[in-house]
Amino acid sequence: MVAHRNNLDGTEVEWKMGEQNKIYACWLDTIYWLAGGTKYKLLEAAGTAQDVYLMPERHITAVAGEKACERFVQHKRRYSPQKVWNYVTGSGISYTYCREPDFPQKFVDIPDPPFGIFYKGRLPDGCVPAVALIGSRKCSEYGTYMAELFAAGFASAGVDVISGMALGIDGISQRAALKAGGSSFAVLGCGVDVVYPRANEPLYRQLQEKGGVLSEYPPRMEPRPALFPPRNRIISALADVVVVVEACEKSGTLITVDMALEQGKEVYALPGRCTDALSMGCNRLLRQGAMIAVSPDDIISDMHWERQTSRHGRTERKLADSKISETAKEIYAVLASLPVTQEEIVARLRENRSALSVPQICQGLVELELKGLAASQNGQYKLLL
Amino acid sequence: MYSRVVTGALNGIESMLAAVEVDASKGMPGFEMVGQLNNEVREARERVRVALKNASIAIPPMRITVSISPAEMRKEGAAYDLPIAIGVLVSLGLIPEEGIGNTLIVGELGLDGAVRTVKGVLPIVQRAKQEGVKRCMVPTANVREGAIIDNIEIIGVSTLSEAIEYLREAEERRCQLIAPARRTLMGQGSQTDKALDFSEINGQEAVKRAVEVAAAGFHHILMIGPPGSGKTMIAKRIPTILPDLSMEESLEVSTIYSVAGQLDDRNALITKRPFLDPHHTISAQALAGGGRIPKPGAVSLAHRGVLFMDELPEFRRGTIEILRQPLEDKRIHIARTSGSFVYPADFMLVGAMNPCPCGHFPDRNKCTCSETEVKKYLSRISGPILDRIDVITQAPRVDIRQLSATMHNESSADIRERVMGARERQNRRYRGTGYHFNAELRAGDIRTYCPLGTEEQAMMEEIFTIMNLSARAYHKVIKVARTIADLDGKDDIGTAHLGEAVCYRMNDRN
Repeated sequence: MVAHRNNLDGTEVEWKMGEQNKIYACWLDTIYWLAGGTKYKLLEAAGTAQDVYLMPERHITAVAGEKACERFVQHKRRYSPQKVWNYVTGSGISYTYCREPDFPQKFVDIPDPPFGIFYKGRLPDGCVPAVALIGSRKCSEYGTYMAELFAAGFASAGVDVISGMALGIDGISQRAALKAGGSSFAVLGCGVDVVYPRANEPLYRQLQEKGGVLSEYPPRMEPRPALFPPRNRIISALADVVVVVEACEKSGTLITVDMALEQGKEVYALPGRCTDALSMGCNRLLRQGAMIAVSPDDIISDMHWERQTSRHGRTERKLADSKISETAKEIYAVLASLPVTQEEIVARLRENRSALSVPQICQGLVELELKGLAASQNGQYKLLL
Repeated sequence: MYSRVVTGALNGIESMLAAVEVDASKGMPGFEMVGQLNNEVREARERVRVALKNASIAIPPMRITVSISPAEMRKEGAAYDLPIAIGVLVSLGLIPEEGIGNTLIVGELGLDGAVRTVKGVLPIVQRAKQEGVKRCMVPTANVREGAIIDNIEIIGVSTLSEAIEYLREAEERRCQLIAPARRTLMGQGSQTDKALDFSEINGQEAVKRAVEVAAAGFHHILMIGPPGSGKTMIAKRIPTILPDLSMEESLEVSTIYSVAGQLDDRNALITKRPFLDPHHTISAQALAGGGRIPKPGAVSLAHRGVLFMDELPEFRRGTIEILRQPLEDKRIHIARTSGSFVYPADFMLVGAMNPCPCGHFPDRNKCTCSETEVKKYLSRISGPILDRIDVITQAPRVDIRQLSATMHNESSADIRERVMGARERQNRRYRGTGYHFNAELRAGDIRTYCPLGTEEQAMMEEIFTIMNLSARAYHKVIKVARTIADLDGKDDIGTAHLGEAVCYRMNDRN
């Protein structure tokens, strides 16, 4: 609608009407616990959002049932549409709904689409390919590593990363995508102005700058377990491909997968070891016919996506260039991308018949760390990507 | 008639001489005792009366008044029984007054007249010697303890009759009756398990090295690792790489044990570094010391030794916080209604903990804890305590192959040699400064004793910015680097030493 703003030849009225309807739609969308389907029905019955607001009670009861009518009337009594709109826009939140041209087309194509969407930052561009990287909150070092690898790979190829900003795989992949210079969108299971989990507050802020935070729930809605499965359908709706990084046998992630299949999206899963509890879900998906995700490049070529930007992923590090000691080189040779304990490093060096003493190994590790070649975490060391 | 017997009294680990004055005069028959006496001391009246009767001595119906001075001090314990009994006998004229000249007497009496063991003989005898007392009469069970102090005669008695007989005897013939005890340092075999040695530990080389560094600089150390990774095994062997106690230290430690009533006939003198591993359910009082009549707690019993706190986060928060004062001041101050006491508490804290409640983090295949739970678990140890721990090391799970392999590992003796070398360097450096070890250095003095060269300074700056260290962590790294340089036999801290020291920081929280 913004495009019409400068257009003074009569379409301004149209814009005003559109804006007016958006305010009423926003009011309608802030009614707690009114199902998206019901809102659609009301809109269809009345014509425009403003007409919905003005609908007499008995019509509402006829279309939506008594309970919904009760909520509707109560909400009408308490808040005026303008008041709601002022609050929403005043909190830096944008809103769009199904009748607006900027409402993502991807939503329209799914069963049970959201009526409207509240967002901070921007909405994903429908023309840009998007991947949902999902997985459990609890994740292994392997999961962390793979999530980072995939997210960075997609981001540097210009593919958007969609996820739920949760702890674990979600947050890790979104952070990695942003770090690699890509954009990422989070769909929340609470109001868009509620930061949940709190630990992801920095990510929440970064997402608003380099992507967006979306939610179909009204602002100030606190997170509840019941709100999360419906938001998963929005995650899969926004994505062209869903990649499960790590999931145990009974994981909420699998709900997203079901939604994705219902919506006709491609599902990829990362293979894991059969003994790893956190890969059980993924391996089961693979057995059931999900595609195997081995590298982000495979998925990109499977989908026939064109790379939007030149790939600037992993820069080849030349050990000869960075002046490091022989000791550090020897240690570098036994480190891997997956973190290992100092004890394991000692054992590996001993296997290579290295005569390095523990103090020397400590020094070597710190040297690598200072040179930015390795990192330590929870007392374990790994090579940096 | 009036008599005065010298005895000893304890106040914390301080001891002082006390006097038992007895007066027997005509009047209404009775047995009065005065001088701020505790219940146990008050009960001495009955014990003394019956013990004297059973030693076939009848007390004539006289008015007997006993006063224990200094009167302003609260008296407790049963150690006054024997001096009271002797005092009564002297005042009745049954023992000549010169018989108790220049003699200190302590001991508890049984109803049958047996002289029983008492607490704190060592500090009392020490005090007596300082005050110029020539001879101490102590229960036989405490003889070895008393005999540690030389140039003072220790006479052990096992019954009241024996004591009376001895005191009645003329000076020159007393030796034949009971010979003064000679100092023996026998029987200390039971104090340590000789079998413990570092060579029994396969793998965990990084942890072993961290322990060596900690022992060399007397740094407190925290080991983090899953259950069964050998944390406890390593901790138990730390005393074996610490230098032996010097005679002076040995006396200090023995005094504490004496006051706590933990010295016995077999372990009269503590010659090995104490190792205490209180269970995590320990109460604050048991750790700090205390009770209505304060006794030294675990922190004091670990004086000059190792206080091993296994499962550190499982200790009650308040209990851990008690460690703050001892970690800072090397002593603990306890105030109770019966007075306030200061016990020494200069120990090496060795902590061990699991990385998370279930113990398997970061092995996510086994760990069932959420991220928040892991964070919460770590935060159970408060910042101030963590700040005082210089060396933090990770003990990972040990491979089964390593467990079963026969490896040639360094023995405790080898490690101890290096530790001794480092301590020697520290002794030389801190002579006359009040410091003993690198761990004690205050922030202000770090610049003086741990100067860094230009290259080292540059490296520290790099470490500081890249690894995002706090100011306190920065000082810790330098102190530990100083110890590593000492182990290396170097006067100056090099980049290699700093590099290793950085490895012993907590890398998740600064």
